[in-house]
Amino acid sequence: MNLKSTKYNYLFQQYKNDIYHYSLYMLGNRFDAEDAVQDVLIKTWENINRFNMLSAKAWMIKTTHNQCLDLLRKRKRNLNNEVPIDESFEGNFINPNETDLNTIVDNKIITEQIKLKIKTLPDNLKSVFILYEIQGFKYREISKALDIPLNSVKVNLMRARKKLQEELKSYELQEVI
Amino acid sequence: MNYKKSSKVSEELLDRIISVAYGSASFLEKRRIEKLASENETIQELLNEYKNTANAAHSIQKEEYKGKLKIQTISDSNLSIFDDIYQILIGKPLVSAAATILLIFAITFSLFNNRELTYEGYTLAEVQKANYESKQALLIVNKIFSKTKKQLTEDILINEVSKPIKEGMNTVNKLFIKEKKNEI
Repeated sequence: MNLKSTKYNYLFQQYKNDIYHYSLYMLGNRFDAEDAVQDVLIKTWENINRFNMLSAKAWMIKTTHNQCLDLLRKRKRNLNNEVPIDESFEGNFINPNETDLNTIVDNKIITEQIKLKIKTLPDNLKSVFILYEIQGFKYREISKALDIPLNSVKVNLMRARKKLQEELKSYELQEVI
Repeated sequence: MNYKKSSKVSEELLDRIISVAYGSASFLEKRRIEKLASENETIQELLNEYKNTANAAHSIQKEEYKGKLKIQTISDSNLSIFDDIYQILIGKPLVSAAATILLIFAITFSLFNNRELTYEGYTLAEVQKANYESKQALLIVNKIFSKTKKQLTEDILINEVSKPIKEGMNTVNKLFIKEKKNEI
């Protein structure tokens, strides 16, 4: 096994879940997310000697982000005829020790709603929110990965949090009505 | 602004509440907002709403990618020792950085230690001790020489040299006297 394969293997093992998870939220379904991951992995293989291993994480997320935006643009061109597939978001929220069924169901509903509402956020807010709140990236890493200033990361994150809350409130109102 | 009386919350305060709810504010800021929330129902309500959303968002777990690699030259299993070494040395720069720092520290430490071993002259105490010891040694030698001289002059020269010579001279003298008598 040569050095290129070793590097690639390491990056694949280390970041495959990150790029898949990010693609899943950005694109909204498993099939497109898997395609995006494969494209990113191929690009990684082709460019593996061109980027520094220390900034590999940022490079891969940046490539994933661009790949997702490309796919979203293509999708818009295809007359928005896609049917959303909710099965892509399987809930992992259930705690087996929890006995109160109502609480379990409520939590699951809230989490599923949040997942759905994250999907509806504008792309620039969604990307920052997913990377920071769900993937656990730091401000600086997001700034590097998405190629935007650090302050913009903070502003977009705050906007995303507010927007998400507004969306959830409007959902609650609809439920009441 | 008096937040106790006000039912409306400013944008700046809302940002602070959100930061606390999402856990990205400092400890002091958290205490301040919690204090405000305990005094104002609107703030408390907002804080709770955002906290619920934040908890739900943070509880979302990462989806695992189960797909295979399309690139056939690579297998994702049976990692070799070379892979492990690579992962430690290059893939994890913190480990290699820590090893480098440790190495530099060891080299520096050994250099300092060597410096301590280099000759920097004798101390006054050492000189005095050496002086005392050399004096003692010279005294011992002196004593031995004195004893030898005494033995040589008093014992050996008198008993072993002078006496036999004296006896020899007496014998020669006697022989001369005897010869003289015979001639007459």
